[in-house]
Amino acid sequence: MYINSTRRQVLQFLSACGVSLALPAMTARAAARRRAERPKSLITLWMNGGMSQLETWDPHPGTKSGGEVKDIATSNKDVRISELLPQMAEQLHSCMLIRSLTSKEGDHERGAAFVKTGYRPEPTLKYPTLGAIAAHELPNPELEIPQYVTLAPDRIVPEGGYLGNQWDAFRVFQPGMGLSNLKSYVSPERQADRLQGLNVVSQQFEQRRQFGAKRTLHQNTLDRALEMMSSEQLKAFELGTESSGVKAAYGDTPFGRGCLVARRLVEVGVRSIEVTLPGFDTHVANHSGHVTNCKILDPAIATLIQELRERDLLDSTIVLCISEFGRTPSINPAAGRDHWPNWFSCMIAGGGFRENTVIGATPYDVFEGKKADGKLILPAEPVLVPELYATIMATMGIDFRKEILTPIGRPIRFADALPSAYLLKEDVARKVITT
Amino acid sequence: MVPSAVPFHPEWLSADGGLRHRLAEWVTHKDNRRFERAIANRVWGFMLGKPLHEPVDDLPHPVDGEIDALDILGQEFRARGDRLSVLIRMIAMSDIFRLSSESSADNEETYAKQVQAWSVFPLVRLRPEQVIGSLFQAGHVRSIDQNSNPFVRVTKFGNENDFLNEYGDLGDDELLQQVGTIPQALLRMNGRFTAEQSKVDALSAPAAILNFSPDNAAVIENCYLACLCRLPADDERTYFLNLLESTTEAADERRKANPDAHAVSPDPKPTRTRAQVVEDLMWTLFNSPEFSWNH
Repeated sequence: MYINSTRRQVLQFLSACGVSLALPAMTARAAARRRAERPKSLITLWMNGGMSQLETWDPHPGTKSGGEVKDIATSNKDVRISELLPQMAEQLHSCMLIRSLTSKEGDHERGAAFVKTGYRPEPTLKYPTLGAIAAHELPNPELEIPQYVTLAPDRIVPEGGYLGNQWDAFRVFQPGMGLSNLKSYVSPERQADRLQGLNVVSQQFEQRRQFGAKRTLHQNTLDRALEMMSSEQLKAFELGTESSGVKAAYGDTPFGRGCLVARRLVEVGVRSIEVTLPGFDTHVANHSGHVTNCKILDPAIATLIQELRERDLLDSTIVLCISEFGRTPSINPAAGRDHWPNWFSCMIAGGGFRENTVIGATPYDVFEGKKADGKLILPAEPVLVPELYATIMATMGIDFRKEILTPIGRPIRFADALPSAYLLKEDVARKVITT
Repeated sequence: MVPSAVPFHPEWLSADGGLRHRLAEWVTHKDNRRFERAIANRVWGFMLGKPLHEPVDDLPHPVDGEIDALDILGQEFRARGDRLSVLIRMIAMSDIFRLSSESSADNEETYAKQVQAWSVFPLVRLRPEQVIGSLFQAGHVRSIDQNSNPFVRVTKFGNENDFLNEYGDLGDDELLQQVGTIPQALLRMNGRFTAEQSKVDALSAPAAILNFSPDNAAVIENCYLACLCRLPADDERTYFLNLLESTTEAADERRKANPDAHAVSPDPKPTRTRAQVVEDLMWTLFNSPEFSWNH
């Protein structure tokens, strides 16, 4: 009967039967929506500490600034990347590399704030991250778990900023290893009694404070937390149903498990997911630091892209691998590279972005990154972070020009730039421009 | 190069010292009303959840000859040696700080006007350290302060840090009116802090309440006093009394007191012990809006 069925029909059937194979938490309705018509999700792979472009996406072998790293051929015949990313080399035909991102923030905290929000940090206002804006603007009504999740985060929480702390990312410190505080420590019967008692006490409080209490959203938050505690969608955070082969392909590391959980969260319709890989602040022993980290990064990101493609989810999922800045072309006496916001690289796959493409180029053999007169050299075709984020918002269907009146009374646009059509596939760009 | 300069009243700038020192002197100059007004506005905001002038960091230039509440508070702050404790005490003694959050408003618009006119206390989310502080105190019979046993103080300190890490520190957002988050609600419901402080064990307040209260009504009253600093309302008392009278211990007492009646009409089998009901009551009060919102 199903020999002539489409993949989509098979998935629908299996899902409806409760036999979901690798998609345990997906409803038949969600399974039906694949490819580009599915509402888009964003997976940000955050390379914490500042990933070196020269050891990853933009190697300069054989030059003084290139260091020890060699380059290898990729599935894009015109592009070579670092030998430290052999699995990604095979996926590069699905990806776009931007080698000319620029920033003016060379401090970790400020750089991360800028690259996560698209706005330079300032003391009077906290801007929302791109992920928070996506969750805020494109909430999935079928979702009983948070719209914005950060996996294996560092201490800085991706924040909702002026949108409010209800748009902060939900933190999962050990992806795939269980969630904390989601199970009641008493029996369901006692939990029901407790909630009934809570209702009595809350009503008493609200009796003469009905409008004030409504503003607190206390009950609303509690209801959403309870809904989450009993949600089947929580299975998306678990890896028990994934085969050992799949888990091994991602890598048995917090980042590898995070990427696998990210794929599962996309399948249930979570709008924004961030997965953090720490350890890129390689002021000392830069090369060996990147060798270690790329062994974690390479299999996880390559498997993620491959699986999203195989499941028809790559057109509707943007995978962005980025960090707060890059690292210096020069190598310091400790064999390390220092902070370098003047040019750095990111990788984007899926979601309507161009494939098999490299944007920008960085100067070869410029050890100090400056001209003789001390002026900084800029990369060819520089891409600004706000411009990239406006493009991501536009392709996700978010009105990047929308102004929000912030708590300090200033109207602020979601993006401080216009989208760049040349970053997108032609049909997607046309659609973005016409809308 | 643009020379460094202050935007107004350059005569307040001293001629000597480093740039930072001179700037600090200029900002705090005795004739700079903006300084004391800004301090007063912020402290008011910390204590009442809403500054007198919003946004807190955008005070307009003061008008000569016009005096408002910020000036009154600010001048007292200046006159008493720039001491924040004086300002805090003045605000705490004000009628507004002692207002109830109960409102007679029958619609949202009227309520908003009452809040704007400071005729009701605005409901303000407690800061994370206040939540864990209250939780820890409610779980102990004695007041926890600088005179407490060092072990208790160290435990409290550790608990506070762990709780802040999970609950989230407001940091710079302290004066932003924000609602709670789902992870915070989950932590209050299912976190170890709530479980530990509501547990009936040897040294805890719930155990002391259970063991030393003369009757069930007193158990409920003492739980309310420990957690919410008030007595239960009638319907609350009735609800929780029913629970305490449906425990295994209560059924045993009834059976012993009147074995014949029990044989004819046995109680429905109770499923809770008194300790469990007290733990559930403490959990309920910890999770109520009244516990985590200043009112």
